[in-house]
Amino acid sequence: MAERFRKKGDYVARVIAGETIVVPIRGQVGDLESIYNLNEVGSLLWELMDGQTPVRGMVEAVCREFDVTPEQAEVDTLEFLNGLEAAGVVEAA
Amino acid sequence: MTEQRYRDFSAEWHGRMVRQRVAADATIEVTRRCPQHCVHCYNNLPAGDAQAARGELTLEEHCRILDEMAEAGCLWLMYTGGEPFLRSDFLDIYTYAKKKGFLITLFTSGTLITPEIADYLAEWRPFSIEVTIYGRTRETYERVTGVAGSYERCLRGIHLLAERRLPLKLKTMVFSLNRHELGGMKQFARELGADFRFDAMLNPRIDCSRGPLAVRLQPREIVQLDLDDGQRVSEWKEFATRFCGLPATPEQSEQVYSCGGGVMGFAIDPEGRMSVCVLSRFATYDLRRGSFREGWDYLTREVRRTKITRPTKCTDCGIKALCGMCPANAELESGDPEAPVDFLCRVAHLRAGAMGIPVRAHGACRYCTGVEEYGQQAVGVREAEEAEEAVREA
Repeated sequence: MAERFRKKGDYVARVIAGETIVVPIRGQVGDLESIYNLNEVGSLLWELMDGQTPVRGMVEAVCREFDVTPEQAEVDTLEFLNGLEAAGVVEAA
Repeated sequence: MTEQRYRDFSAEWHGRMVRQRVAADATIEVTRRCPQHCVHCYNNLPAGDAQAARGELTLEEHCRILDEMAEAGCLWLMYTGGEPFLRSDFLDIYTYAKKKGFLITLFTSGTLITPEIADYLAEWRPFSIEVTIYGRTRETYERVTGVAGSYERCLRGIHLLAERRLPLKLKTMVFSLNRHELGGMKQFARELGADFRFDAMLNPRIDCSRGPLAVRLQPREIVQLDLDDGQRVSEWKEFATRFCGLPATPEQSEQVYSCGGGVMGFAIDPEGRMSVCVLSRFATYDLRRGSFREGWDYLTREVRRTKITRPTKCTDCGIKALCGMCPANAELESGDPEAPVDFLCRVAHLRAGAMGIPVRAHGACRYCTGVEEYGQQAVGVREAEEAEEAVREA
Protein backbone atom coordinates (compact mmCIF):
# COMPACT_ATOMS: atom_id res chain seq x y z
CA MET A 1 0.00 0.00 0.00
CA ALA A 2 1.11 3.55 -0.70
CA GLU A 3 2.61 5.68 2.09
CA ARG A 4 0.46 8.71 1.45
CA PHE A 5 -2.90 9.41 -0.20
CA ARG A 6 -4.60 12.42 -1.69
CA LYS A 7 -8.17 13.07 -2.75
CA LYS A 8 -8.93 13.19 -6.42
CA GLY A 9 -10.35 16.50 -7.56
CA ASP A 10 -13.42 14.74 -8.89
CA TYR A 11 -14.98 14.42 -5.44
CA VAL A 12 -15.88 16.76 -2.62
CA ALA A 13 -16.91 15.97 0.94
CA ARG A 14 -19.96 17.61 2.46
CA VAL A 15 -20.61 17.74 6.18
CA ILE A 16 -24.36 17.81 6.70
CA ALA A 17 -26.21 17.43 9.96
CA GLY A 18 -23.06 16.09 11.58
CA GLU A 19 -22.34 13.48 8.93
CA THR A 20 -19.95 13.47 6.01
CA ILE A 21 -20.86 12.38 2.51
CA VAL A 22 -18.61 12.27 -0.54
CA VAL A 23 -20.16 13.68 -3.71
CA PRO A 24 -18.79 13.24 -7.25
CA ILE A 25 -18.49 16.57 -9.04
CA ARG A 26 -16.55 16.04 -12.24
CA GLY A 27 -15.58 13.59 -14.93
CA GLN A 28 -16.97 10.28 -16.00
CA VAL A 29 -18.10 9.29 -12.56
CA GLY A 30 -21.42 8.06 -13.88
CA ASP A 31 -24.83 9.17 -12.82
CA LEU A 32 -25.26 9.39 -9.11
CA GLU A 33 -26.24 5.81 -8.47
CA SER A 34 -24.38 5.50 -5.20
CA ILE A 35 -23.05 7.84 -2.57
CA TYR A 36 -20.37 7.44 0.09
CA ASN A 37 -21.33 8.11 3.66
CA LEU A 38 -18.43 8.55 6.08
CA ASN A 39 -18.60 7.85 9.80
CA GLU A 40 -16.61 9.87 12.36
CA VAL A 41 -13.41 7.93 11.76
CA GLY A 42 -13.88 8.25 8.01
CA SER A 43 -14.44 11.99 8.32
CA LEU A 44 -11.19 12.39 10.26
CA LEU A 45 -9.25 10.30 7.75
CA TRP A 46 -10.75 12.27 4.87
CA GLU A 47 -9.30 15.44 6.37
CA LEU A 48 -5.90 13.80 6.66
CA MET A 49 -5.75 12.63 3.05
CA ASP A 50 -3.79 15.69 2.02
CA GLY A 51 -0.94 13.98 0.20
CA GLN A 52 1.37 14.85 3.11
CA THR A 53 0.17 12.85 6.10
CA PRO A 54 1.59 9.29 6.06
CA VAL A 55 -0.67 6.33 6.70
CA ARG A 56 1.09 5.80 10.02
CA GLY A 57 0.14 9.38 11.01
CA MET A 58 -3.48 8.66 10.15
CA VAL A 59 -3.48 5.57 12.35
CA GLU A 60 -1.99 7.60 15.21
CA ALA A 61 -4.63 10.28 14.76
CA VAL A 62 -7.39 7.69 14.96
CA CYS A 63 -5.87 6.34 18.20
CA ARG A 64 -5.73 9.85 19.67
CA GLU A 65 -9.30 10.77 18.77
CA PHE A 66 -11.10 7.49 19.42
CA ASP A 67 -11.07 4.85 22.11
CA VAL A 68 -9.48 2.14 19.99
CA THR A 69 -6.38 -0.05 20.11
CA PRO A 70 -3.53 0.71 17.66
CA GLU A 71 -4.10 -2.67 16.02
CA GLN A 72 -7.78 -1.98 15.43
CA ALA A 73 -7.05 1.58 14.27
CA GLU A 74 -4.62 0.25 11.68
CA VAL A 75 -7.09 -2.33 10.41
CA ASP A 76 -9.85 0.27 10.14
CA THR A 77 -7.63 2.84 8.45
CA LEU A 78 -6.26 0.44 5.87
CA GLU A 79 -9.70 -0.92 5.11
CA PHE A 80 -11.02 2.61 4.63
CA LEU A 81 -8.14 3.65 2.36
CA ASN A 82 -8.41 0.49 0.30
CA GLY A 83 -12.13 1.05 -0.16
CA LEU A 84 -11.73 4.64 -1.34
CA GLU A 85 -8.81 3.77 -3.61
CA ALA A 86 -10.76 0.92 -5.19
CA ALA A 87 -13.71 3.26 -5.76
CA GLY A 88 -11.38 5.77 -7.44
CA VAL A 89 -12.05 8.49 -4.90
CA VAL A 90 -8.45 8.81 -3.68
CA GLU A 91 -5.05 8.01 -5.15
CA ALA A 92 -1.49 7.42 -3.97
CA ALA A 93 0.40 10.67 -3.49
CA MET B 1 -17.29 4.09 4.94
CA THR B 2 -20.73 3.09 3.77
CA GLU B 3 -21.67 2.98 0.11
CA GLN B 4 -25.41 3.50 -0.29
CA ARG B 5 -27.69 3.30 -3.28
CA TYR B 6 -28.76 6.84 -4.05
CA ARG B 7 -32.45 5.99 -3.69
CA ASP B 8 -31.90 4.65 -0.16
CA PHE B 9 -29.68 7.55 0.74
CA SER B 10 -32.24 10.08 -0.49
CA ALA B 11 -35.13 8.55 1.43
CA GLU B 12 -33.14 8.30 4.63
CA TRP B 13 -31.64 11.77 4.41
CA HIS B 14 -34.83 13.54 3.43
CA GLY B 15 -36.43 12.20 6.62
CA ARG B 16 -33.45 13.27 8.69
CA MET B 17 -33.37 16.75 7.14
CA VAL B 18 -37.04 17.32 7.89
CA ARG B 19 -36.64 16.23 11.52
CA GLN B 20 -33.62 18.48 12.00
CA ARG B 21 -35.02 21.39 9.98
CA VAL B 22 -31.99 21.46 7.69
CA ALA B 23 -32.31 23.80 4.70
CA ALA B 24 -31.55 20.90 2.40
CA ASP B 25 -33.58 21.48 -0.74
CA ALA B 26 -33.12 24.68 -2.76
CA THR B 27 -34.65 26.16 -5.88
CA ILE B 28 -32.86 29.15 -7.38
CA GLU B 29 -34.35 31.17 -10.22
CA VAL B 30 -31.29 32.71 -11.83
CA THR B 31 -33.36 34.92 -14.13
CA ARG B 32 -36.96 35.46 -15.15
CA ARG B 33 -35.87 36.42 -18.64
CA CYS B 34 -36.50 33.92 -21.38
CA PRO B 35 -36.13 33.85 -25.17
CA GLN B 36 -39.60 32.33 -25.44
CA HIS B 37 -42.95 33.96 -24.78
CA CYS B 38 -45.00 30.98 -23.64
CA VAL B 39 -48.66 31.78 -23.18
CA HIS B 40 -49.02 29.71 -20.03
CA CYS B 41 -45.87 30.72 -18.14
CA TYR B 42 -46.18 32.14 -14.65
CA ASN B 43 -43.03 34.24 -14.53
CA ASN B 44 -41.26 34.80 -17.85
CA LEU B 45 -39.97 38.20 -18.92
CA PRO B 46 -38.55 39.21 -22.32
CA ALA B 47 -34.95 38.15 -22.94
CA GLY B 48 -33.95 41.74 -23.55
CA ASP B 49 -35.52 43.16 -20.37
CA ALA B 50 -32.59 45.31 -19.25
CA GLN B 51 -34.23 46.37 -16.01
CA ALA B 52 -34.80 42.76 -15.00
CA ALA B 53 -31.20 41.91 -15.89
CA ARG B 54 -29.86 44.77 -13.78
CA GLY B 55 -31.79 43.54 -10.77
CA GLU B 56 -30.50 39.98 -10.89
CA LEU B 57 -27.99 38.66 -8.37
CA THR B 58 -24.44 38.94 -9.67
CA LEU B 59 -22.07 35.98 -9.97
CA GLU B 60 -20.34 37.13 -6.79
CA GLU B 61 -23.64 37.33 -4.92
CA HIS B 62 -24.59 33.85 -6.11
CA CYS B 63 -21.25 32.49 -4.89
CA ARG B 64 -21.63 34.10 -1.48
CA ILE B 65 -25.13 32.68 -1.08
CA LEU B 66 -23.97 29.23 -2.25
CA ASP B 67 -21.18 29.32 0.35
CA GLU B 68 -23.72 30.05 3.06
CA MET B 69 -26.18 27.43 1.78
CA ALA B 70 -23.46 24.77 1.78
CA GLU B 71 -22.47 25.74 5.30
CA ALA B 72 -26.11 25.36 6.38
CA GLY B 73 -26.27 21.82 4.98
CA CYS B 74 -28.09 22.34 1.69
CA LEU B 75 -27.53 19.38 -0.64
CA TRP B 76 -30.17 19.37 -3.38
CA LEU B 77 -30.20 22.42 -5.65
CA MET B 78 -32.42 23.14 -8.62
CA TYR B 79 -31.61 25.92 -11.06
CA THR B 80 -34.55 27.27 -13.02
CA GLY B 81 -35.80 30.49 -14.59
CA GLY B 82 -36.86 32.00 -16.94
CA GLU B 83 -34.18 30.30 -18.98
CA PRO B 84 -31.01 29.81 -16.91
CA PHE B 85 -28.77 29.52 -19.96
CA LEU B 86 -29.78 33.01 -21.06
CA ARG B 87 -27.31 34.33 -18.51
CA SER B 88 -23.86 34.40 -20.04
CA ASP B 89 -22.35 33.61 -16.64
CA PHE B 90 -24.70 30.75 -15.78
CA LEU B 91 -22.06 28.06 -16.28
CA ASP B 92 -19.80 30.00 -13.89
CA ILE B 93 -22.55 29.95 -11.26
CA TYR B 94 -23.26 26.30 -11.98
CA THR B 95 -19.60 25.27 -11.78
CA TYR B 96 -19.15 27.07 -8.49
CA ALA B 97 -22.15 25.19 -7.12
CA LYS B 98 -20.80 21.89 -8.47
CA LYS B 99 -17.47 22.46 -6.73
CA LYS B 100 -19.32 23.07 -3.47
CA GLY B 101 -20.82 19.59 -3.76
CA PHE B 102 -24.49 20.34 -4.42
CA LEU B 103 -26.57 17.74 -6.26
CA ILE B 104 -27.86 19.94 -9.07
CA THR B 105 -30.97 19.65 -11.20
CA LEU B 106 -31.32 21.97 -14.19
CA PHE B 107 -34.66 23.10 -15.63
CA THR B 108 -34.33 24.45 -19.15
CA SER B 109 -36.19 24.88 -22.42
CA GLY B 110 -33.18 23.31 -24.15
CA THR B 111 -33.27 25.96 -26.86
CA LEU B 112 -29.93 27.54 -25.91
CA ILE B 113 -27.99 24.29 -25.53
CA THR B 114 -24.98 24.29 -27.88
CA PRO B 115 -22.46 21.49 -28.48
CA GLU B 116 -20.04 23.38 -26.25
CA ILE B 117 -22.53 23.65 -23.38
CA ALA B 118 -23.49 19.99 -23.77
CA ASP B 119 -19.80 19.00 -23.69
CA TYR B 120 -19.30 21.07 -20.57
CA LEU B 121 -22.28 19.45 -18.85
CA ALA B 122 -20.95 16.05 -19.82
CA GLU B 123 -17.75 16.94 -17.95
CA TRP B 124 -19.50 18.59 -15.00
CA ARG B 125 -22.52 16.34 -14.89
CA PRO B 126 -25.72 17.58 -13.31
CA PHE B 127 -27.68 15.26 -11.09
CA SER B 128 -30.54 15.68 -13.54
CA ILE B 129 -31.46 17.93 -16.46
CA GLU B 130 -35.13 18.43 -17.28
CA VAL B 131 -36.23 19.91 -20.60
CA THR B 132 -39.75 21.18 -21.02
CA ILE B 133 -41.34 20.50 -24.38
CA TYR B 134 -44.61 22.08 -25.46
CA GLY B 135 -45.62 19.91 -28.38
CA ARG B 136 -44.51 17.27 -30.82
CA THR B 137 -44.93 19.43 -33.93
CA ARG B 138 -43.41 22.74 -34.86
CA GLU B 139 -46.84 24.26 -35.32
CA THR B 140 -48.02 23.48 -31.79
CA TYR B 141 -44.72 24.12 -30.05
CA GLU B 142 -44.28 27.53 -31.64
CA ARG B 143 -47.92 28.43 -31.15
CA VAL B 144 -47.14 28.08 -27.44
CA THR B 145 -43.74 29.78 -27.40
CA GLY B 146 -44.52 32.45 -29.98
CA VAL B 147 -41.00 32.18 -31.39
CA ALA B 148 -40.23 30.93 -34.89
CA GLY B 149 -37.46 28.34 -34.97
CA SER B 150 -37.77 27.49 -31.28
CA TYR B 151 -39.00 23.94 -31.94
CA GLU B 152 -35.92 23.02 -33.94
CA ARG B 153 -33.66 24.60 -31.32
CA CYS B 154 -35.39 22.65 -28.58
CA LEU B 155 -34.99 19.35 -30.46
CA ARG B 156 -31.36 20.12 -31.18
CA GLY B 157 -30.74 20.80 -27.49
CA ILE B 158 -32.46 17.59 -26.45
CA HIS B 159 -30.43 15.51 -28.90
CA LEU B 160 -27.16 17.16 -27.86
CA LEU B 161 -27.87 16.19 -24.26
CA ALA B 162 -29.12 12.71 -25.10
CA GLU B 163 -26.10 11.95 -27.32
CA ARG B 164 -23.85 12.62 -24.33
CA ARG B 165 -25.92 10.36 -22.12
CA LEU B 166 -26.67 13.13 -19.70
CA PRO B 167 -29.38 12.32 -17.12
CA LEU B 168 -32.13 13.79 -19.28
CA LYS B 169 -35.81 13.98 -18.45
CA LEU B 170 -38.61 15.50 -20.51
CA LYS B 171 -41.76 17.10 -19.19
CA THR B 172 -44.56 19.36 -20.29
CA MET B 173 -47.37 21.53 -19.07
CA VAL B 174 -50.60 20.43 -20.72
CA PHE B 175 -53.20 22.98 -21.70
CA SER B 176 -55.68 23.70 -24.45
CA LEU B 177 -53.07 24.42 -27.12
CA ASN B 178 -51.05 21.21 -26.82
CA ARG B 179 -53.10 18.49 -25.12
CA HIS B 180 -53.68 16.76 -28.45
CA GLU B 181 -49.95 16.10 -28.69
CA LEU B 182 -49.46 14.69 -25.19
CA GLY B 183 -49.26 11.16 -26.55
CA GLY B 184 -46.68 12.22 -29.12
CA MET B 185 -44.56 13.86 -26.43
CA LYS B 186 -44.70 10.73 -24.28
CA GLN B 187 -43.67 8.63 -27.26
CA PHE B 188 -40.77 10.96 -28.06
CA ALA B 189 -39.47 10.57 -24.50
CA ARG B 190 -39.80 6.79 -24.73
CA GLU B 191 -37.78 6.79 -27.95
CA LEU B 192 -35.04 8.75 -26.20
CA GLY B 193 -35.13 6.51 -23.16
CA ALA B 194 -35.93 9.53 -21.01
CA ASP B 195 -38.40 9.77 -18.14
CA PHE B 196 -41.46 11.89 -18.91
CA ARG B 197 -44.01 13.64 -16.74
CA PHE B 198 -46.70 16.22 -17.25
CA ASP B 199 -48.75 18.64 -15.24
CA ALA B 200 -51.93 20.47 -16.17
CA MET B 201 -52.36 22.70 -13.12
CA LEU B 202 -51.66 26.16 -14.46
CA ASN B 203 -51.78 29.07 -12.07
CA PRO B 204 -51.86 32.85 -12.52
CA ARG B 205 -48.60 34.69 -13.05
CA ILE B 206 -46.61 35.74 -10.01
CA ASP B 207 -47.96 39.27 -10.33
CA CYS B 208 -51.41 37.62 -10.00
CA SER B 209 -52.37 38.47 -13.59
CA ARG B 210 -54.54 35.75 -15.07
CA GLY B 211 -53.21 35.35 -18.60
CA PRO B 212 -52.25 31.67 -18.27
CA LEU B 213 -55.77 30.77 -17.16
CA ALA B 214 -57.07 31.48 -20.67
CA VAL B 215 -55.50 28.23 -21.85
CA ARG B 216 -56.01 26.17 -18.67
CA LEU B 217 -57.98 22.97 -19.10
CA GLN B 218 -61.27 22.46 -17.35
CA PRO B 219 -61.25 20.29 -14.21
CA ARG B 220 -62.97 17.42 -15.99
CA GLU B 221 -60.40 17.54 -18.79
CA ILE B 222 -57.57 17.47 -16.27
CA VAL B 223 -58.97 14.42 -14.49
CA GLN B 224 -59.55 12.74 -17.84
CA LEU B 225 -55.81 13.07 -18.54
CA ASP B 226 -55.28 11.08 -15.34
CA LEU B 227 -57.79 8.47 -16.35
CA ASP B 228 -56.18 8.05 -19.75
CA ASP B 229 -52.94 7.04 -18.08
CA GLY B 230 -53.05 3.88 -15.98
CA GLN B 231 -49.73 4.56 -14.30
CA ARG B 232 -50.94 8.00 -13.26
CA VAL B 233 -54.09 6.51 -11.74
CA SER B 234 -51.99 4.07 -9.73
CA GLU B 235 -49.74 6.89 -8.56
CA TRP B 236 -52.66 9.05 -7.48
CA LYS B 237 -54.21 6.19 -5.56
CA GLU B 238 -50.96 5.45 -3.80
CA PHE B 239 -50.50 9.14 -3.09
CA ALA B 240 -54.00 9.35 -1.65
CA THR B 241 -53.35 6.36 0.58
CA ARG B 242 -50.26 8.03 1.98
CA PHE B 243 -51.38 11.61 2.28
CA CYS B 244 -55.16 11.93 2.31
CA GLY B 245 -56.70 12.40 5.73
CA LEU B 246 -56.97 14.96 8.45
CA PRO B 247 -53.87 16.87 9.57
CA ALA B 248 -51.86 14.79 12.02
CA THR B 249 -52.00 17.20 14.94
CA PRO B 250 -54.16 20.13 16.04
CA GLU B 251 -51.08 22.31 15.71
CA GLN B 252 -50.64 21.32 12.07
CA SER B 253 -54.30 21.97 11.34
CA GLU B 254 -53.85 25.53 12.56
CA GLN B 255 -50.90 26.25 10.28
CA VAL B 256 -51.32 27.98 6.94
CA TYR B 257 -48.51 25.92 5.40
CA SER B 258 -48.66 22.16 5.23
CA CYS B 259 -46.11 21.52 2.46
CA GLY B 260 -42.35 21.00 2.59
CA GLY B 261 -41.61 24.70 2.08
CA GLY B 262 -39.81 26.13 5.07
CA VAL B 263 -39.38 22.63 6.51
CA MET B 264 -36.45 21.58 4.36
CA GLY B 265 -37.20 23.43 1.13
CA PHE B 266 -36.85 27.04 0.08
CA ALA B 267 -36.58 29.20 -3.02
CA ILE B 268 -34.49 32.20 -4.02
CA ASP B 269 -35.71 34.51 -6.77
CA PRO B 270 -33.49 36.30 -9.31
CA GLU B 271 -33.16 39.37 -7.07
CA GLY B 272 -32.14 37.37 -4.01
CA ARG B 273 -35.45 37.18 -2.17
CA MET B 274 -35.81 33.97 -0.22
CA SER B 275 -39.22 32.36 0.26
CA VAL B 276 -40.77 29.00 1.06
CA CYS B 277 -41.30 28.25 -2.65
CA VAL B 278 -41.12 29.83 -6.09
CA LEU B 279 -44.82 30.69 -6.11
CA SER B 280 -45.15 32.15 -2.63
CA ARG B 281 -44.10 35.79 -2.61
CA PHE B 282 -45.99 37.38 0.24
CA ALA B 283 -43.32 36.63 2.84
CA THR B 284 -39.74 36.93 1.66
CA TYR B 285 -36.31 37.59 3.12
CA ASP B 286 -33.83 39.76 1.21
CA LEU B 287 -30.52 37.90 1.01
CA ARG B 288 -28.86 41.10 -0.18
CA ARG B 289 -29.50 42.60 3.23
CA GLY B 290 -28.79 39.63 5.46
CA SER B 291 -27.35 36.16 5.66
CA PHE B 292 -28.78 32.89 4.43
CA ARG B 293 -28.92 31.63 8.02
CA GLU B 294 -31.07 34.62 9.02
CA GLY B 295 -33.31 34.02 6.03
CA TRP B 296 -33.79 30.36 6.91
CA ASP B 297 -34.56 31.29 10.52
CA TYR B 298 -37.18 33.73 9.25
CA LEU B 299 -38.85 31.07 7.11
CA THR B 300 -38.82 28.36 9.78
CA ARG B 301 -39.64 30.48 12.82
CA GLU B 302 -42.05 33.02 11.39
CA VAL B 303 -43.44 32.22 7.96
CA ARG B 304 -43.82 28.50 8.47
CA ARG B 305 -45.56 29.01 11.79
CA THR B 306 -48.12 31.42 10.39
CA LYS B 307 -51.48 30.44 11.81
CA ILE B 308 -54.77 30.45 9.96
CA THR B 309 -57.02 33.39 10.72
CA ARG B 310 -60.27 31.51 10.11
CA PRO B 311 -61.49 28.03 9.37
CA THR B 312 -62.40 27.33 5.75
CA LYS B 313 -63.65 24.22 4.02
CA CYS B 314 -59.97 23.44 3.33
CA THR B 315 -59.13 23.33 7.05
CA ASP B 316 -60.44 19.84 7.64
CA CYS B 317 -60.59 18.65 4.05
CA GLY B 318 -59.24 15.13 3.78
CA ILE B 319 -58.38 15.23 0.07
CA LYS B 320 -56.17 18.31 -0.01
CA ALA B 321 -53.39 16.11 -1.31
CA LEU B 322 -55.36 15.59 -4.53
CA CYS B 323 -55.73 19.22 -5.51
CA GLY B 324 -52.47 21.08 -5.09
CA MET B 325 -54.15 23.69 -2.93
CA CYS B 326 -51.54 25.65 -1.03
CA PRO B 327 -51.18 29.18 0.32
CA ALA B 328 -49.09 30.16 -2.70
CA ASN B 329 -51.75 29.03 -5.16
CA ALA B 330 -54.40 30.86 -3.17
CA GLU B 331 -52.29 34.01 -3.10
CA LEU B 332 -51.99 33.98 -6.86
CA GLU B 333 -55.65 33.21 -7.46
CA SER B 334 -57.18 35.65 -5.01
CA GLY B 335 -54.48 37.44 -3.05
CA ASP B 336 -55.56 35.59 0.09
CA PRO B 337 -53.37 32.63 1.11
CA GLU B 338 -56.23 31.05 3.05
CA ALA B 339 -59.02 31.41 0.52
CA PRO B 340 -60.15 28.12 -1.08
CA VAL B 341 -59.50 28.05 -4.82
CA ASP B 342 -62.65 26.88 -6.51
CA PHE B 343 -60.84 25.46 -9.52
CA LEU B 344 -58.59 23.28 -7.36
CA CYS B 345 -61.56 22.18 -5.28
CA ARG B 346 -63.35 20.95 -8.38
CA VAL B 347 -60.30 19.07 -9.64
CA ALA B 348 -59.78 17.35 -6.28
CA HIS B 349 -63.38 16.23 -5.93
CA LEU B 350 -63.57 15.05 -9.51
CA ARG B 351 -60.33 13.14 -9.06
CA ALA B 352 -61.54 11.53 -5.85
CA GLY B 353 -64.86 10.58 -7.41
CA ALA B 354 -63.29 9.16 -10.54
CA MET B 355 -60.76 7.08 -8.63
CA GLY B 356 -63.04 5.90 -5.87
CA ILE B 357 -61.22 7.79 -3.14
CA PRO B 358 -63.56 8.47 -0.20
CA VAL B 359 -64.40 12.09 0.58
CA ARG B 360 -65.63 12.97 4.03
CA ALA B 361 -67.93 15.99 4.32
CA HIS B 362 -65.97 19.04 5.30
CA GLY B 363 -67.41 22.50 5.90
CA ALA B 364 -69.62 24.18 3.36
CA CYS B 365 -68.26 22.32 0.34
CA ARG B 366 -70.76 22.15 -2.46
CA TYR B 367 -68.71 19.64 -4.40
CA CYS B 368 -68.80 16.88 -1.79
CA THR B 369 -72.40 15.93 -2.46
CA GLY B 370 -71.81 15.38 -6.15
CA VAL B 371 -68.73 13.23 -5.90
CA GLU B 372 -70.52 9.96 -6.68
CA GLU B 373 -71.65 11.09 -10.09
CA TYR B 374 -68.06 11.22 -11.20
CA GLY B 375 -67.52 7.72 -9.92
CA GLN B 376 -68.89 6.53 -13.24
CA GLN B 377 -65.56 7.48 -14.69
CA ALA B 378 -64.03 4.76 -12.54
CA VAL B 379 -64.93 2.46 -15.42
CA GLY B 380 -62.32 4.39 -17.36
CA VAL B 381 -59.90 3.93 -14.47
CA ARG B 382 -60.28 0.15 -14.51
CA GLU B 383 -59.76 0.04 -18.25
CA ALA B 384 -56.64 2.14 -17.94
CA GLU B 385 -55.31 -0.03 -15.14
CA GLU B 386 -55.95 -3.19 -17.13
CA ALA B 387 -54.15 -1.69 -20.11
CA GLU B 388 -51.20 -0.79 -17.90
CA GLU B 389 -51.12 -4.31 -16.48
CA ALA B 390 -51.13 -5.76 -20.00
CA VAL B 391 -48.17 -3.59 -20.95
CA ARG B 392 -46.26 -4.68 -17.86
CA GLU B 393 -46.94 -8.33 -18.58
CA ALA B 394 -45.86 -7.93 -22.18
